[in-house]
Amino acid sequence: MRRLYFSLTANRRLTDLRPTDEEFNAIDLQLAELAKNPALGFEFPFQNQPRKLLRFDVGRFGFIYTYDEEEINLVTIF
Amino acid sequence: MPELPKSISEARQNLPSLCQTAEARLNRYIITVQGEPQSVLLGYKDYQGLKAAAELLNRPELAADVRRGLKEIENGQRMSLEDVREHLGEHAKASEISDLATELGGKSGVDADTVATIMGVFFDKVRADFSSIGKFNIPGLGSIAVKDTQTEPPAKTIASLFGRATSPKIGRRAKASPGVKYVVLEPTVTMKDMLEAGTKK
Repeated sequence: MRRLYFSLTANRRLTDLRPTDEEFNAIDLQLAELAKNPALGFEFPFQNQPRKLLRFDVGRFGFIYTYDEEEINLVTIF
Repeated sequence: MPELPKSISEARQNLPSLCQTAEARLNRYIITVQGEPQSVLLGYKDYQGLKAAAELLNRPELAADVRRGLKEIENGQRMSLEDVREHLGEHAKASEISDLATELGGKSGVDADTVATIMGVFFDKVRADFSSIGKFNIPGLGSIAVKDTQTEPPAKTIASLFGRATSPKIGRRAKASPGVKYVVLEPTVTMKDMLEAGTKK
């Protein structure tokens, strides 16, 4: 299973969105699934970015992330 | 992502295989009627990706966040899920204090910033000092009991000190954080009473 990291921006945006405890637990569970299978998200192009960017939604939260063999990095949350 | 023209009759005849290759190879089929393009057949993931890209184009602040987030990741400025959980807990606590302070400030006539300061100091003191299981009596205030994480908090919690009957949120947060214990208050007076008494003096 890949290790999961949040960029400072992702952390800030999640804080702004004020998830309830239930929502955070759902996010926790869904991100654990994503760590097992990062291709669950939808890949999208972004300004000639060489890294593959994907989007994954949990309830009202949209996660934008990148991944490799060892890590998932959450770029931002909206 | 190749874009391939298909006449509508050809598309009708081969729809299952077109759907399959649209999903597997990300082919996009331009369906033509009498030689003119009329619609597009594309895979679901491809469609969702296009929607995400369109959303970024329409929200420049989100695109800026993506650029900033990518840069932070490259520079190693990132946090683990546990760090994020802890940060959210701290932020929620601060918000809760702020909301209560506004409410109590309005009711008691004491400046909300002063109330928030008192409450913040009190919360931190309780969290820092009462880290083991036990019960403590505070003259004129009541007793404070600290229980382990397996115990569901009863109706009265720390928020009851500040004039609220219950605060189930605090109980759930404590349960979600290993090592954090429930703090249960059995107050004889509320903070509101104390503030009102202070105002009268």
